[in-house]
Amino acid sequence: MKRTATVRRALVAAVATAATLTLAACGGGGGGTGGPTSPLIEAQGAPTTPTGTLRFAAWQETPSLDPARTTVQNGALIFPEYDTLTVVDDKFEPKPWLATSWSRPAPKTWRFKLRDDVTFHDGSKFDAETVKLNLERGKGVEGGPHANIYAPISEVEVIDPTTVDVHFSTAQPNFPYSMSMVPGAMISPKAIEEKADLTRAPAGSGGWIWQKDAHREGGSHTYKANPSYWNKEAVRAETVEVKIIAEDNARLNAVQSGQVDVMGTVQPNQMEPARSAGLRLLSDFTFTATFMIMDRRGEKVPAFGKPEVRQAIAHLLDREAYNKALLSGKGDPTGGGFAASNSKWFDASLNDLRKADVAEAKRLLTAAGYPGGFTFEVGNAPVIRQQNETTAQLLAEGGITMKIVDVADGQYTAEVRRGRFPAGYFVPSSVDIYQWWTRTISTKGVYNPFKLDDLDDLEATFTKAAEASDDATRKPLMTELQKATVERGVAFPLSQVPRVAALTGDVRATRQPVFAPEDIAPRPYYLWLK
Amino acid sequence: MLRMVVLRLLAMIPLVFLVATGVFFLGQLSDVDPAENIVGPNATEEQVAAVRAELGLDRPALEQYADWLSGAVRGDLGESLYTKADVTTSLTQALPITLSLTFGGLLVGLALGVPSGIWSALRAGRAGDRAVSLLATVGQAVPGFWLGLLLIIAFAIRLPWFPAVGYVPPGESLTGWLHCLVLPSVSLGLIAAAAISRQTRSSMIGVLQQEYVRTALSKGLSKRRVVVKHALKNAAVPVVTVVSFQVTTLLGGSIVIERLFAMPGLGALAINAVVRRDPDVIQGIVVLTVIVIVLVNVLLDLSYAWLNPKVRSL
Repeated sequence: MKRTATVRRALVAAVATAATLTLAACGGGGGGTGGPTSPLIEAQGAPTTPTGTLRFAAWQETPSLDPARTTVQNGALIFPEYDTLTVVDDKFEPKPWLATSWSRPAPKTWRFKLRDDVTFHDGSKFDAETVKLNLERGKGVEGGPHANIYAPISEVEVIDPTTVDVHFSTAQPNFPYSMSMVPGAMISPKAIEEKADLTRAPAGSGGWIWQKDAHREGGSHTYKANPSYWNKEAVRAETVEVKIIAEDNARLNAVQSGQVDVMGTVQPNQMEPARSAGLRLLSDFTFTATFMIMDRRGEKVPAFGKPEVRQAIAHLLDREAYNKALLSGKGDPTGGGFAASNSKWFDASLNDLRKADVAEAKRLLTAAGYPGGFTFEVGNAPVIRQQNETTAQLLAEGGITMKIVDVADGQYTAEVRRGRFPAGYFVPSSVDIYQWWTRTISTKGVYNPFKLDDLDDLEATFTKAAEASDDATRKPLMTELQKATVERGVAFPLSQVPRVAALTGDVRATRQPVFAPEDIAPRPYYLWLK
Repeated sequence: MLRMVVLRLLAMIPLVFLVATGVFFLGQLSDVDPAENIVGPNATEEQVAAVRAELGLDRPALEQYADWLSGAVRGDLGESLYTKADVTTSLTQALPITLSLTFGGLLVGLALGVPSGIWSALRAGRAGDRAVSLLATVGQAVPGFWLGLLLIIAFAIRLPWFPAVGYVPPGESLTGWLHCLVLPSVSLGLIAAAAISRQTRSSMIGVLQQEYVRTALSKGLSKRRVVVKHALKNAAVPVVTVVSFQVTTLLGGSIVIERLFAMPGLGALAINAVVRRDPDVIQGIVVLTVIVIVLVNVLLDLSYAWLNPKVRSL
């Protein structure tokens, strides 16, 4: 009898423990009901000398700490060590950093005035010659990820130690903006001249110095404050630690448990849990989820050669439905063009460019000779499976079957470039409208596997915009390009994708932190822990 | 006995060679082109080809393999195509993390599995036995990553007792090391405990029905002494076999758990290397894993000999 009671008690205890564990887990983290109400920008109380450790979570290890060989997605590991020529403010406008000012003396030339008080970690000085060395090196890196930015540079001319002219083969109105990203990170002239391997031995002038001994491959990168930094006001933390946490939930868990102060790449479905856990979210729209038809001559899929079919697709891709189904309603489906509503290139007149209308889509398909729809394939990688599945569901409404074909990891772009797929999913910048055109849409760009020339007539419009001296002249021209892209059935915006970073309530900034459109999290400059 | 150990270790050489060779040529069938990954999405076909040539990936597969093999026999496992990191160094950094997790999980598995199996066997057919069997079944069915997620939310976020992510080397802080291993070890170990418990139970039930046990009890030896000193040792041989399987399972399971707890062990290294196709790193991990598994099996053979004197004379 006694033994039975003991067993029963043990069972009850085991079940209670399991229930407690499950309930505690299901209850979510943190005790807050919303993000911090205190402002992020707070100078009062900020340490005057670098203090404490700012801990970041990045989503992947970088293959290299050489800016010319690193994609913008790995910027969080580059920026503590390296300074960029410019930075970008919260309105996505380039602002001074190593360059104090810039001007455009000719449509194909940018002139930069430079700081004269910057020293690299290895003791070498920063000057106009350094900029020349860096840009020429970037251009010379075979197949570097920033080839499209460096390639148009025709000459870099040193005017004097603090003035440099960059000449281009075609006008590059956004070059100062591009120089705020990874391609604008300046490497020490000594390292360049010695042809140093920077893969795991960076050579920057940034606010923090990368610590080789503390680095754990795939685990973390540690940077210590640079005691001779030119902008002491921007360096408030003694140590910056970037932990590599690949798993989305693990990153959020790390912030919620207080092991990390700043994380990037918050997924749309993590926004509410993060907010209710008391985290501060920095969120905006800097990328456009896009469906692009590359086989517009109908070489692989004859139906795509018909303009009516492409317009039918435009009517089937319901932006509202896409946003709700895939982005938990956290995206922005209002824009009919490709520019984000918070970008200066946004034009509300494009919002009604195409409307979701299944009946009209079916009518167009019937007129084109495809009343029962047709079938085509798109490439798929694990990170875009849900995007592809949602698109397939929307197209199925009109009887179009989109087959999702898995490609080897990391090979999506390669397969697209080889012309294996007639259409596909892309995420171009919705802030840098020039990159949107030159990199993704233009037939002169890298995504023209079928060697089409149907947009060549629009290049003149782009050149006119690029060579214009002011944004007021450029904007209607870029609007025209966005409109033509949709009307000709080239590409269709699906939704603006939220870019979200989460910060614990203790993180403050002495001034607006640098969170450039292609950054995954704010850079550590000006940040401090309360 | 010594001969057996030496023979097993010698047999490891052709095994490592065969597995490494197989993996290398299987890797050649992969669609993943490291040159494409390195140059990124904006490069032209010519630029990709240039990088491919620079990395030597355009050479015949046999030539690449011979290159790797000649380095490997001299102790040089090559370097990562991406980070240029020395493979031996990367493995040396990652292995202690995976082994810490594996043996932490094993410890939890043994600490829970063996006593609960014995307890259950002593109450065979009664409510307590059925309850333990039920828990063991549930334990085997629950995915480790889900359990890990629950443990993190409960004991790292709601009750901030343990870290949610990260690894602290014992050289840096012994308590920090133990602290960071608790949740991942429990996540891994509970599943191992379920298997060990079931095996211990059935093995013990068999031994407890042996005549020598009844004789020992009838001679007046205490039940505790009979169970611990006589029955358990004889019941241990099949349990040890299951434990050796569990070591292999735990090594595999640590890949998922390392990712969940953001620990840069062999699992994280393996995932990155396979996804990006980093041939030297993949080869290094395979060689190391084979060696670890063979060594575990040698230890298992030694434990058989300790548990069963008949084996010693073989």
